[in-house]
Amino acid sequence: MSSVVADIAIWLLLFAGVGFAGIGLIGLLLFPDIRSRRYTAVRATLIGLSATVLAVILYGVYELQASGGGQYTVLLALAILLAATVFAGNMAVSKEILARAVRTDYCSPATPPAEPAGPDT
Amino acid sequence: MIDTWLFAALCLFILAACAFLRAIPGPSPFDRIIAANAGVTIALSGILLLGIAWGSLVLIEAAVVAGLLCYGGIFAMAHTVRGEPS
Repeated sequence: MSSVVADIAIWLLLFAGVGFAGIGLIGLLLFPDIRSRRYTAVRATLIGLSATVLAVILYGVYELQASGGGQYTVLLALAILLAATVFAGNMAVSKEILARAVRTDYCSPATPPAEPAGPDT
Repeated sequence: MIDTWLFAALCLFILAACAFLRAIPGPSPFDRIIAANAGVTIALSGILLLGIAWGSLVLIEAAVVAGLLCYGGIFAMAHTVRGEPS
């Protein structure tokens, strides 16, 4: 893998990371109810973090192959540890919010469901 | 020429600041928790990239510890919060 290809892939992954983080923020600002806000914020920011961590892993693997050195191994381990921490934390918080929001009826629809039509008089 | 890692980290910090600002108005406590959760996630991504830009592994280790503390706190808030529907 040449340096140019690695640089372009890292650039694209960083762009995707920032873009998905922005999408998550836009969803947080625009969506009307808690369930859709939670879904968009958690999923989009996690995809953005995944792209960012992939860029870091690609950089670390490329530098490890090119020049060696223990610091890049530590960098890869720390990036994976950070990704695991964020994923676990997001999943735990997301499930807790979903359970409590449903239980406290935070996700009620904006318009009540239509009453079934009664018999005509 | 500006460093790509530093520029991406700066963009992520701006987005994280916007998410934290979204946590202020609410209106419900769960809105604040969701916004804080998204802000912490984006800020941790930014710290990871800042660690690459500055060549500091200690910063990434600090990000892991800060992430554990922040998600623990957010989970505790989500577990204990009570509020009225918005």
